[in-house]
Amino acid sequence: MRPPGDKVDTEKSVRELRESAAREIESASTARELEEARVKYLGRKGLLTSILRGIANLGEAERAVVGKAANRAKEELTSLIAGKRESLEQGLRDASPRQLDVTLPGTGDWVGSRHILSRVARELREMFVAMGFSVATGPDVEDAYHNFEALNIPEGHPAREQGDTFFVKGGLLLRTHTSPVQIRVMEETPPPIRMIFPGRVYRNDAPDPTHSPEFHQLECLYVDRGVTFQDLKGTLAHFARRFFGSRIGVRFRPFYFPFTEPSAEVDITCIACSGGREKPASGTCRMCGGTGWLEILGAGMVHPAVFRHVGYDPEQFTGYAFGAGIERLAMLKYGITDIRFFLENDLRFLEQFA
Amino acid sequence: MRIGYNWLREFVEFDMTPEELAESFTMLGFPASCVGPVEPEYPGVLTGVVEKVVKHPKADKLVLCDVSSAERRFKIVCGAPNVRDGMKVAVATVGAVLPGGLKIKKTSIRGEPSEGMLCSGAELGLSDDAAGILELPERTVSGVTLDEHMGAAETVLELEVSHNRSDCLSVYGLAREVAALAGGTVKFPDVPTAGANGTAQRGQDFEVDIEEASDCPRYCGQLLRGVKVGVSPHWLRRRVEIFGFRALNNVVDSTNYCLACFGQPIHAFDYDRMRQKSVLVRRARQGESLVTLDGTERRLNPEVLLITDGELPIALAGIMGGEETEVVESSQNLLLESAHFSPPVVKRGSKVLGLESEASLRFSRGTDPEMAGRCLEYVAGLITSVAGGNRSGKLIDRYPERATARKLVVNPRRISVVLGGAVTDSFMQQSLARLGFGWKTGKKGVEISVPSFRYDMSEEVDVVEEVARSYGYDRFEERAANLSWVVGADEEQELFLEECRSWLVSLGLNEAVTKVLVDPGKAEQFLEPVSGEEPVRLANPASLAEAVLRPSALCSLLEAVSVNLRRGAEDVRLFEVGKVFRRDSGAAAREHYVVAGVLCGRKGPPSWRGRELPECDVFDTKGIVEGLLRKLKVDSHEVLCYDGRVLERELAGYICYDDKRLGVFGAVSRRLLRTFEVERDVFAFELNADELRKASCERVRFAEPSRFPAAKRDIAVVSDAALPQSEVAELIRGLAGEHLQRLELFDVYTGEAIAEGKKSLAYSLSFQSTRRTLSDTDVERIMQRIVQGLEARGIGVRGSSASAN
Repeated sequence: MRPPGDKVDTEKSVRELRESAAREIESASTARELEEARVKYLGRKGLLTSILRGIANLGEAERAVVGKAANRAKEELTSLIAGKRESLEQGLRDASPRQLDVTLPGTGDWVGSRHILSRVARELREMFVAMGFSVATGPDVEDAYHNFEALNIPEGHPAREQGDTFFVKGGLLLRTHTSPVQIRVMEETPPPIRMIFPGRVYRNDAPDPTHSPEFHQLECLYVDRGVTFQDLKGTLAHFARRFFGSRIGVRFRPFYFPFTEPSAEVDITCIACSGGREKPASGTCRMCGGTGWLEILGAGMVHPAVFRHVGYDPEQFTGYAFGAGIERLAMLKYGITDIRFFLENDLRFLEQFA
Repeated sequence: MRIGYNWLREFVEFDMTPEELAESFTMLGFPASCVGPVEPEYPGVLTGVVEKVVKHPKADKLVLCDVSSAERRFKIVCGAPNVRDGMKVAVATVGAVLPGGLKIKKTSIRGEPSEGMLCSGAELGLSDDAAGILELPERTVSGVTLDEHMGAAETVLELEVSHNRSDCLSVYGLAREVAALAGGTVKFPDVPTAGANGTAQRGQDFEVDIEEASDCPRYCGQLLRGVKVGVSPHWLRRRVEIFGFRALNNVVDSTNYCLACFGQPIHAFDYDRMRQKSVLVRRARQGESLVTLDGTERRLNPEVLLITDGELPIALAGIMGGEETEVVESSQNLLLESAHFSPPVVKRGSKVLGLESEASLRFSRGTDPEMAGRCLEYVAGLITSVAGGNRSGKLIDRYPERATARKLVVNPRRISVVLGGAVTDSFMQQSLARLGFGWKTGKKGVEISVPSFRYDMSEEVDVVEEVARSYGYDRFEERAANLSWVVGADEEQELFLEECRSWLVSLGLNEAVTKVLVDPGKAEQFLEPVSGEEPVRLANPASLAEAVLRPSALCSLLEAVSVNLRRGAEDVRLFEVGKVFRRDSGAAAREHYVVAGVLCGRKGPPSWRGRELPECDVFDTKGIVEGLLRKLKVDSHEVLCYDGRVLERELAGYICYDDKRLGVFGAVSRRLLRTFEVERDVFAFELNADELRKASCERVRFAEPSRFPAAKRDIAVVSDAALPQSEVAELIRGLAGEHLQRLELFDVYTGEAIAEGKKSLAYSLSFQSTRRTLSDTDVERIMQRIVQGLEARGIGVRGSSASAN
């Protein structure tokens, strides 16, 4: 047993130890000096460590007091050392020149990209699939019955005499819209039908910034009991707002198509001048010609003649249909100025939309 | 089509600005825009009142006038003898330009300032009177432009009329639509009368006969005598020009004006030049011909309907007049024709002759038989008022069977259902009545009688559209379609193609979407002569370079490579998912989807790390194909030697699955590269996507990974150089048995230490059991089996070891 006075001494030496250790830690100027100080006090044989080890031999009262002081000193010193190490490293980093030029470009393999047309087609498909539509495709090389007759465009109809149909040797033709797929689906399947019809279509138009002999369409058909004009408006307005943004204005105006009645064209407020609200510097908006509106698609209630061709009973079923040019939608949404870019595949075009 | 705003106002009353009118037309189904005002004829000339006249202090013959024009006041020095207080005048203000080119400036005459000019009729080009100033009528409103006062001010609207609405190809037709919208009535204008010109009662001057009434249900004729062909008055010229005609003379302008106003084509014959003074409407005989107004000789056949003078043709009915009886400057006596011809007959005739005119456009789509007589009255009055002369004899009207209103039986309830219950029966009835339809409730439904000018109405849905238009498309609410179960069709195919696209993007390719219509010369080169296949040809291509459907997507992808290289691209890596088209000799066209790609340029993106950037080779394209097959879970494919001509035989292969060719990969042949003017190596692949989809595992079955450690070994074998590596690998796989998890080729070597005609292949193998830990002895036993098996097949083993990996 040690004399009782030792209690005071031990407690005092813990305090002195802590202070001298703190001074040495503070004055260390290198990581090495800091480590030396740590070993001296907190190492396995360090001064403070020895005191902590000796606590077990102290009397009960003393043990509590010294133990508490020594443990607190250890915590304080550990934290001081950690702080000092941090600041030494920081100083080192600040002082030394960088070894690695992190501005060098990263390396990797080729990264591919999606074509903007297929991105837009995918976006549209996903949008309509989420609304409960499924997808159908059909042949590009069609017969006149499916492309015209069944769609209420008989021989001699003006829509058929525009001279924009490509004929294939042997009597077939290249579809001028994806509507023949609608006919093919209805021939095979009884109602209800709720489908979209994406695909390539062909028209013998002279190429210019808004015309291409080959382009893509997305058509849509919904046939069931009690499908109304309001359903058509609702679906199209939802589509337009989701595709172009919720602030876009949508309007429907009467139009003529042989295969729908009533028919409508759908306009959205001009993207460039916000529907005429922002007057461009030049005076007249070049995108919409100052009308404030841009036509995006044609739509209508399916004509009963079409139903009769596929054997649906127009007394029981009604339906709506619409069709949009995918290129046109993409041009409006992304500000693409010439439809001919799409099929040209210049990498400087393709990579912009990666 | 272009019309004038004030012009339209002569037919119907409405309260809309030109812009609002354009908007209304658009919403009625006639996309319209406001083109703007026509250029003023008298810029700067206003109507005004002479307030006070005093003598000029320094000149006897001049007076000083105070002139007002609404709020404005002018001091004008004038020398006209007829000027007086309270006179309504035309004031040319400072800056005005008169028809003769005279520009009005501020000036002073003998010390008195003059701020304009009071105009004479001659100065305005309105009369020959140059002596006095023009006196405007007492009721003239002061302060408007002279253009407005004279009805020359006009705002032009441009609109599109869809071809089913031939009834709206005129100002009057559009006025009917406006009247229905605004709830007013459309007014047929008063027939112009020219002062003293009465009807000279003489006997019948000509006969009208119609051979087949169904070809020409109505024919009206009127003779005019003593007409003086000359320049039309200003207002008439201006209106026909707004509509898009060239102003010619007062007769032609009048007939064109009638067409523009009412959609009724009128033809004027020079009566004196008609050999027989009669009209017979009949079909042409085979071999007949006629020189038309445009100076072209037309060979005729019985599909063409003619106006003859009883013997010889004088006009193509409803299409164009003959040159011989054309109205010329010296013409005095005119036979005016206003008829209704059968639309299909005119349409057919116009088509077989390849000749279209404003008249044939309207007749072939349908004119209103009820209008023919009134329009003839109108145009006869107009011509006599602008060109003088008299009507001679009565108007002859051959109208044997008056058109009866067509009837449609409709079910208002069904109409209401399609329109979502938004419209009531009474609304339908009212809106249809405004559009000129009759409404009669009957047993089977409602009987709608269709006005004679509406050729577009044939069944109930047509009525639905009229009701919807009247209601206003914008007033219908937006509803969400109620869900019901529907069957799917091609989503799986779409999803599969979508997946191919995603994987190829992840393999570092840029997606392309290329043309399907290609050059036949190029397309041929993608067909193997032995296959007997042909490209699908267009019968009416737009150009020779786009005359067939591509038999291979590589055809258009190589075009894209060529274009990009020419524009300076260094690396071109493209793929496409699209259709190709072929036909077996004589058979129908076949089409299917392919997945194709092309590589040209460096293996990897340029980097600061490596100076050497090796170019792509065959194995890069094969690597992409294999990567895709792996991702699509096409498990066991084979590669066979290539023997086609699209790719280089030595540097290409077929990818086969289940004894079917899925496609090809390899270096594009030199010959093709020359065709596409590409001077660098291009590596390509093309797979039949439909076959690929069949081969692709529909649904992956999960296999639990082994929990036991794997043992790795390497083995190097020496085989004949000609032996395909795939056979060696298959052999090893077979010998190794079920525990082989992975077999990787990591080196191929020929040269030093390897005998001539041999090659060394080094593989790394990984063994693992799903049930237990494989002991060294287990693995050694397997390796032993492999070594013996290979040696038995004449494949030497250079060594085997525990793998370093």
